[in-house]
Amino acid sequence: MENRRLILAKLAVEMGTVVGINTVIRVYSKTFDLTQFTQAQLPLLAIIEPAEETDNEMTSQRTLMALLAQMSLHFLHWGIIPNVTFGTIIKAIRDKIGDNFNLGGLITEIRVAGLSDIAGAMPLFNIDIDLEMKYYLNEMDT
Amino acid sequence: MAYYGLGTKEEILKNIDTQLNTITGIKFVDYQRVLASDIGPEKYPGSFINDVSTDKEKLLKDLSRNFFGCSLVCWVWATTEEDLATKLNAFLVTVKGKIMADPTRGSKAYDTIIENISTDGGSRWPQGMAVMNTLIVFYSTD
Repeated sequence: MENRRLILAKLAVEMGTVVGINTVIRVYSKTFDLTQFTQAQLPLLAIIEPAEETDNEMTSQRTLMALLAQMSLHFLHWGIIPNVTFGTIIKAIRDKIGDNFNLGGLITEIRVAGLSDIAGAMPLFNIDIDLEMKYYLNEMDT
Repeated sequence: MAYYGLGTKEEILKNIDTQLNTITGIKFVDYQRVLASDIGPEKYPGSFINDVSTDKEKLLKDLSRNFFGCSLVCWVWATTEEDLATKLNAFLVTVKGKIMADPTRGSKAYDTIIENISTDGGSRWPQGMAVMNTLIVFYSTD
């Protein structure tokens, strides 16, 4: 019985504990201004405001909701192919999600729904991670 | 050769200067000049390294991608026994070879591109002049 505000706040906190990520931000658009950040603040994980849809209508004013979030990881790599740099961080993110599949009891499910190709050009690359989260919304609270 | 690309315009100009000075028989290399009219015959062949333009693309607060336009004004002198076009062409081939031997300008640039070469078409015989326009891409922390 939670809401998206608490879930996204908790997700940001959890991602902030991933070794290798220096900054976690929440943004409303994928095209946020990266020039406001320094090299030392990267790797930077941007949690983009998720789409939300009803997964299952239930009785007693309960609804199972699905949050379709996307996280965009921005990192520096002074080479043509950013292999090791991003691989280590992506694994750490996936391990963190695997260890916290209910975000401390806030949700019933969180899973990585997909990884994009690596975009960008030397030295600034990014990769998108699609997340699917499900939680029970108490409609009395909203 | 390290693949890097973080440098300054001054380091890149110095690298070009050093490269040109390794050309066998070159007599004179200088900066920011247009005409060789005040250069005596003892200073042929030679080249001016002219800083033409810089276009800056901000990537992060402390990281920029720079597009640096640098023109090399090259000149030769043909004696009555020499063919001016042949001499100018040979000199240009040598200059081009030196510039492209290390497009990273000693790891201070991402790439060096020779955009075009124009000559005076022999109109200044026995002096032959050519302009080699290069585009140098490098990253800087400003």
